[in-house]
Amino acid sequence: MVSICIQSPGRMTTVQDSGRPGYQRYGMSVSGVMDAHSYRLANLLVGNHPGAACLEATLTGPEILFNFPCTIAITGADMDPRKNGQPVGLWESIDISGGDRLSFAGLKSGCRTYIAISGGIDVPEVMGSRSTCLPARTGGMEGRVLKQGDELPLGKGKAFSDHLRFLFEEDRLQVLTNPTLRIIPGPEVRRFGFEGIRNLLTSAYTVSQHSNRMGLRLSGPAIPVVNGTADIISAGISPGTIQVSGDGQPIVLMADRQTTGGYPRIAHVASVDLPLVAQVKPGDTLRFREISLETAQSLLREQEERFEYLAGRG
Amino acid sequence: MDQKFRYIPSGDSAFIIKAGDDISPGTSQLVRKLLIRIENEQIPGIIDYIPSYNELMVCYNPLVTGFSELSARLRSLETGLDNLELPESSVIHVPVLYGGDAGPDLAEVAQIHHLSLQEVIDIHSSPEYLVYMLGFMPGFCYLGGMDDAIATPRKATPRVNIPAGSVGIAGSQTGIYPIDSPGGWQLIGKTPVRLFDPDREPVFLFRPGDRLRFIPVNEEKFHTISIEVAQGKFDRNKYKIS
Repeated sequence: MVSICIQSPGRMTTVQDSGRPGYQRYGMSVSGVMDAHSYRLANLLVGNHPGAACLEATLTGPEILFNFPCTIAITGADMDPRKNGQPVGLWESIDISGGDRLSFAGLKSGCRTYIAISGGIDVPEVMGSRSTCLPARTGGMEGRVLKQGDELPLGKGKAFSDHLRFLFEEDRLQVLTNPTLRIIPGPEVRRFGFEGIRNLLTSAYTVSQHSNRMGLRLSGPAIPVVNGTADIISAGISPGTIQVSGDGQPIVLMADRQTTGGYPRIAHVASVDLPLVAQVKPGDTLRFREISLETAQSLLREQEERFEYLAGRG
Repeated sequence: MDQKFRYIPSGDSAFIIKAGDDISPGTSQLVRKLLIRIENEQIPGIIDYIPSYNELMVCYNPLVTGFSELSARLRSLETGLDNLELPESSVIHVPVLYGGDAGPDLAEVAQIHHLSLQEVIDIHSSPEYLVYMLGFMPGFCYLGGMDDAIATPRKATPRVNIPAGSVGIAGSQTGIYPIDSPGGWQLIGKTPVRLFDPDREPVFLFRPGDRLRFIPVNEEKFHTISIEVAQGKFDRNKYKIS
């Protein structure tokens, strides 16, 4: 069997793909990668289909032993990747021979690293996806984070043999420790008064330790509810929703978010900026700037055109 | 044109359609009718739906369609919605072993309300509950219809692990844990039935709009059903306890 062997899992490494939509009405989280930008480009660099499963490593990287030749790409957070101990680059194709060992010397920037391997990680699909949903213990590798000794099967061959081999600076995700995120007002924005909204749009909010793939808890100047109650009738949550909990502190909801929630939805992070949220870690800070729905969608279209151009560049 | 629904963007890839501001069977029916009507159209670009008590969230791919385009199209589907017949909802029986290790808080709930254990069981198992929506955990049902006579506050200290199948009370709500999870609910019983099983078809035992009855069973029956469930013989449509 063509597979990779996990020699050491790193702090929290999971198998992820583009997610498992379609079951949210049953309370099933979408899951999938936190940083769709880095994930998509990693797959491009190894000639995979855009939805192929890869590894998502958090804060520290895994050590992986390869038993056959393949192509890999590493994107997202810089964890100082090494092939057989020698530094290798991010955002480029790396040729691997049987017996090669990939490791990471330590986090230099960002929070989550993506490792794409030609053929893709071929764990069984569960409900149409290979992504790991940790809260439901479903999908990926037995519904859990990787552990030492795991053998992960790989898909056969590359989808595209004549693929992109490197990316210019401008196409890489620029990971930041203090990004300003573009947001769109949410359905319950009117529950918050002038002061609270001013706080949200002018202050820095610190990412708390209690942040994970479900969401990032932030702390900073309070955003009080002034009209109505601090709870809403439980309702749907879209990716990047910013909820404000009873203590006036915002929470940004991410890949493993619950499908419904009872806190007011003050705003939503624009899809193009969600990868920046995926790359901040506890102690980093976030700021927010308002844009319109139309602007958010046109930014997404521009990015998509660029990705499609890159996919065709080969 | 009927303007009782409000369309509100919820980010750049979803919007909500608000059908009301309350938790009621009527509003819930409107949400479900809307979902059925929209889903029948198979509109390109719509990826997913999240129906809840009083709104329907529509998730879409903004590279394929947009808020204005979709909301205009969906508004045109509102006419005649009142006359749309909802499919008859399934009544699903959930066997429950009350008390003992299966329901370690039954005695406490009884004591709080000055009821006997059997009275709590009778009150809990007599209504037909409405599955308003699912959320919180895969397969978790938000149920309406519990008698306030057994409404009980959550435990002061949440448990670290509540096993899947546990039946509990939190305030005026009752529910079933679909997966092992930490939680503060008062546990009064346990069901051998799985609300969420990725290896089974259907994966989820309940759909929004279904109805649920708790059926008290003894330990022996509990074990028999546990074996049926493990062997994959449990059928949500045929399973009835007489």
